[in-house]
Amino acid sequence: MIGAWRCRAAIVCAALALCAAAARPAPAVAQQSGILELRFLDVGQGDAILIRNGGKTVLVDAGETDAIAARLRQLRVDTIGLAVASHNDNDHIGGMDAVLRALPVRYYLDNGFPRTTSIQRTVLELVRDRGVTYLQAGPRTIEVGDARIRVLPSPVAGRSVAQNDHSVALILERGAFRALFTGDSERRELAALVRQNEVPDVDVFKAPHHGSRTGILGAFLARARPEVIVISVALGNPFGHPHAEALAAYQTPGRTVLRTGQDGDVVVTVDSFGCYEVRTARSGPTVLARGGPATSPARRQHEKRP
Amino acid sequence: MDRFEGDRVVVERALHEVLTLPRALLPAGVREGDALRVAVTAAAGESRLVITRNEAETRRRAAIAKRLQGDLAARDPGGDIKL
Repeated sequence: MIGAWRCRAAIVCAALALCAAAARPAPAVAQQSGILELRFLDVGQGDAILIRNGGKTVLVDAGETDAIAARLRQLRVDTIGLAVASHNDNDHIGGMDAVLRALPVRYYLDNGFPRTTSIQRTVLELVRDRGVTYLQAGPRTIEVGDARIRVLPSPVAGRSVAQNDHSVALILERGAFRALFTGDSERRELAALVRQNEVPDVDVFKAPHHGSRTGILGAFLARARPEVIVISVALGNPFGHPHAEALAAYQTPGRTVLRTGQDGDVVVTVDSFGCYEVRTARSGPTVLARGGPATSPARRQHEKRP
Repeated sequence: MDRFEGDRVVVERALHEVLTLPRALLPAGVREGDALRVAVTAAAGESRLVITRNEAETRRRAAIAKRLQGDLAARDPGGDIKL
């Protein structure tokens, strides 16, 4: 039962961190030694995910507006090791120019399929002019302290393919914990990832395309089997996200589904063994979901490690 | 044209200025990334909004983006990365 003890230790540690953070304007869970923080930022209709571990910071997408820069400052982010654009739609890179202007960024990775938009040109010019090292979305691993991110380029080929199905997928791993982000991938890319056996059993999954019906694929969900699904979406957005079909597919017994628009920031804390807890800005210190190697041994038997 | 979202389209009017329009306003064959030309015509007391593809501007912008991305890709150190 060592695993269970370790998970309880992580729970106490993370709870203390959150309680301490509650007294300050900017939660600082990631600054707790040994705890990885995975934060789905409430940035309106768009994606922005902050990962902090061992003093290293990764930003996956930057929302639609430059408000992201102020949010990062509020969270005491002073440098970004890696900024990722899952793809180049405005609701994912609209705030990336503000990030590049506001903070030192060491590496920048995108899907390699540039857009014709002004925001795309501005972002790439900033990457060039500020000496940020560009990374192509090849199959590679990025170490973030004692965690790692595996980069999965979209298996869908062709320059005429819409950006969504060219989304870069990322797998975040720490201990036994796994989270999967697939940008705005739709059924075509999701099916291709399944065919290539690239979809692991995960704990946390970011819903593709803001909970659109185009991002639902039963075979993908059956493979990923997430315990927690986070939908990055604005309340009252003009696109009808999340779609009722997506919610029906996601909301199964034993699974926690959260939305940034109604829950605020969704924060996952992970210890070095992979035990995790989920809280939101709305829930405060109350843990909405938890898991880890000692709490789901049956699930672990089905993991498909590469 | 930034992207399709169901029966809507998101169009970048200028840097950090986006519009959400009904998809039906766009001519058939428009694809994500196309530059659009918007004209308002008035005749017989009636105004009409006419949106067409601007192929020359689309090609110009695509060439700039491709060159930028290509230059950056050449700097990729390759392999795995440790932050």
